[in-house]
Amino acid sequence: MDYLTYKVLVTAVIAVTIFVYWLFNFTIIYHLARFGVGTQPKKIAFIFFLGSIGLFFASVFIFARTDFSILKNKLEDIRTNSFSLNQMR
Amino acid sequence: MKTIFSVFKNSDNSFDEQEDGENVTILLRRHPFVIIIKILAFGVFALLPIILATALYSFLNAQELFGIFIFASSIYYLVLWSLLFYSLTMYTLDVWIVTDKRVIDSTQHGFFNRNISELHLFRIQDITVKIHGVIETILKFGDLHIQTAGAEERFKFLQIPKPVVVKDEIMRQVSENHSHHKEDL
Repeated sequence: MDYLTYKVLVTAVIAVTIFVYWLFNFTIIYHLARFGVGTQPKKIAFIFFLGSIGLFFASVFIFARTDFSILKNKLEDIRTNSFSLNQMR
Repeated sequence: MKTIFSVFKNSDNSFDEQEDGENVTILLRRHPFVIIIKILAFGVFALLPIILATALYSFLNAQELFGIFIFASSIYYLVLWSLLFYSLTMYTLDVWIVTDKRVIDSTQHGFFNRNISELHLFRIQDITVKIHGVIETILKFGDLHIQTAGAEERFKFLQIPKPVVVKDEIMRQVSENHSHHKEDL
């Protein structure tokens, strides 16, 4: 798999995951606001919405600051080690 | 702006298909104990990344994987937050409404599976309260079963707080409703 295909695939997986996550959250908020009786469900929906936004942007911030090349190198090391082990056998 | 935020302050407990002039007298959900147990379980799960980070700190640092661990934890908390509120949604949407005309049982089983049944007060024949076990006895919650004249399924209010008080209140409304019916005749 070349670099571009890999990058497109990873971006697509991230985009789909984010879409599914927000769709799930929207469904929760919609149910609470639409079918909830009284003020309690609306308050819960509001707290959930604020928390989701906060956690989502915290995750995006951490994602932007994380160096994933370390993980890539580690996986590469594991792959090479197992390969050499197979060769030795 | 004031109108938007008023939804958090006051509500007449209105619900779908409420009739004109129909007033909600009792709005019931399961006892808070039911959801507190779930919230505590989520609290325990929320501690997992902290425990793991403490236990594996030196290993993660030596392998330069601490940043990736923090990112994985943030994703874990995102999912946990949504699952916690999914449970809260299911808890909040299980409601039993007593109005001055009827009793409504609305239970939510997953996002797209909802049961709503209603029963007119004049059809209520007897009410049974069931309190099982030590916790329900101490915290004063239990089930309330309403029997109608027909052979149809009983209405079940599950794990509601103060079921005896609710039973008395419904019976009072039933007798009021019966006397109104007699006056009409």
